[in-house]
Amino acid sequence: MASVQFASATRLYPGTHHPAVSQLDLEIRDGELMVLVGPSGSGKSTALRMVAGLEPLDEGAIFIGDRDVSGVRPRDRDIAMVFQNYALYPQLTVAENMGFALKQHKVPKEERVARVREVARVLDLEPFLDRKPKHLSGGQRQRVAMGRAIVREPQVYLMDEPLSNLDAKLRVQTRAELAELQARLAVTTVYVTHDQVEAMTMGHRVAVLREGVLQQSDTPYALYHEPANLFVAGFIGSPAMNLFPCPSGQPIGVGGCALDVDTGVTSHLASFGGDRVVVGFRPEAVRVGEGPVAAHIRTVEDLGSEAFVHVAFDHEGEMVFAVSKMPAPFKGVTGDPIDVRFAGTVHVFDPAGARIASGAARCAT
Amino acid sequence: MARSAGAQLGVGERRSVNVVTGVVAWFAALLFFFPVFWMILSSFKEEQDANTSPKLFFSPTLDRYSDVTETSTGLLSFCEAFFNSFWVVTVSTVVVLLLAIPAAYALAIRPVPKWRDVLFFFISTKFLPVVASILPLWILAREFDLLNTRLVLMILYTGMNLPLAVWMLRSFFQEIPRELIEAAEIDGAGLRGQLASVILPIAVPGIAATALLCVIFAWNEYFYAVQLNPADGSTIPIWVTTNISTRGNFLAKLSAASVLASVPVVLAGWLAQKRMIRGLSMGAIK
Repeated sequence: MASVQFASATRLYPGTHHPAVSQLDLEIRDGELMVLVGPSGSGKSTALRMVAGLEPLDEGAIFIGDRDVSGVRPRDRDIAMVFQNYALYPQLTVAENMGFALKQHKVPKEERVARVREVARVLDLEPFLDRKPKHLSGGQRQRVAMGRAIVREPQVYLMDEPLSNLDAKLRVQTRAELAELQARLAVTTVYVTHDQVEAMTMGHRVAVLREGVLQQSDTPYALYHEPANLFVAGFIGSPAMNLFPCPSGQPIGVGGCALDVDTGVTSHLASFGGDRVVVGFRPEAVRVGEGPVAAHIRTVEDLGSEAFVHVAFDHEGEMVFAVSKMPAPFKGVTGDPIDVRFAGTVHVFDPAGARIASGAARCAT
Repeated sequence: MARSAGAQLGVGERRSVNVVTGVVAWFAALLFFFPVFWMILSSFKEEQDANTSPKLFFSPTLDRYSDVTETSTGLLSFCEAFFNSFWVVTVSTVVVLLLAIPAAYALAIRPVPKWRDVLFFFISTKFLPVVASILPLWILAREFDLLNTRLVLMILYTGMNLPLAVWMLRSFFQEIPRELIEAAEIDGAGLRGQLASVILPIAVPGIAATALLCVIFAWNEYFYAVQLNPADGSTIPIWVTTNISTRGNFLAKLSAASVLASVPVVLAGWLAQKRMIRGLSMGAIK
């Protein structure tokens, strides 16, 4: 096992002007499960492939442990990768697929068979060892792909959206199993996903990328409660954070409601030089039912355990939308007039993106 | 009442139209097959029967087959021509595959710079009319003392089939998911290991289809063979023409020779048909 470190790692695809991964500095600690998350084109898969050696570096370096592997061939990096489509060899049986890497590394047959059997036992794959991949279900194929990685006992696991081809129920189940397995094996893992729920539930830490640039890497809690910038604030959390552009003069007002904010926020705002800020509230900080802001319901998403109430109200002469997370059952339908208030953590951002401050806030009027 | 899948009408289709289309298709198929059928039929006839007014019913004989396969001193025999063809076709096809597989790999999986130009160059060699190339080829063959040898046909058939094989194999290789090759690379397989363990086993139907086409084209080739190998090392198509005589009737004999010339490729095609169809359709659906 070993740590993985990106040191100003950059990848510029031939014929493009914008790097797919730009000056990435990130350390993944020994035994840690680091999730790289971001929208399509954010460079998360490219970053993973750079660790695998499937993409060359144009600048910077990648270290596995103390070794600079930037110029090392994929097969000499002591890594194992799980692909989105599993990449199982169709002509080989499950046992042969799992033992393929060991065979390439000239591991004696007895040891190979024993290791494959052991991993198959752990993953409940023993009954399928003689089957070809085409005779397996999606979940079984996913486990074979995992098994193929585990059996090698590598220093690092690389996983490229390994759950995205599973149905929703199996994905949730496999997600938990995978996290448990990773914790048990304690092998450094880099995991790529575009699903922020997967990222938040699995990652010891999560690195958020956008257009090849690292936005923030931190624990899921910190990403949610202390987003570094507007992009992270909008990307992490479902439903997304409600964002309202406002004048930076105090008191800050949203929808005609003057906010009574924490002194920490007040002092940061006082020292902020700009005219305008962006104010953000998570859906749980938007309360509907009573309050000073007159709104109407756009739609209600009832999930059984909670309800997402989408409302619209006037803010600085424009109609703006917000989402509130309310306990279910929620009485109210589309078009109903409803009052809204803000009570919870407020996040204040520079319109350029950086977070200025976060703190408790509530409607003063 | 349950209807078979083939008899089911599509939405908006009319049975009468389907029946008419079917009849037309069958008629066209029989029309194309008839000359082949007549050739097979004639090969079992006496020369006299074959040359007189068309007869569907006659007493069949294998004498024409004995005639064409019997060996006469100084004349090209069936066995000699067969083995010449066998060696020329086998060697040229094996060499084509040995050269085309790495070339197709380079073009499909690890494209070299200007790969489009390379691909165009390969196929451009097929633009030249065969007849336009015969003089330089004949001179070269004479200069290198290759006239009337099997080697000259082996070289020519390799060159003739190589562009086609590279194009076909490239499209088959492109169908192989990139992740499989990357997985093998990470799993520790070198270039040879990737080819042997991952790419070739998956591309077997495509390789079989390519090989079969090379075999068919080389087996049936006549023009180069007759120009460059009229005396020694003659192949089956030339042997077929030796059964045309200037005196007497030869239609039944020629039919028997044609049937014998067709049997190996038809048999190979029939045996490989399952793989070949899979291979030929490999590139069709992503």
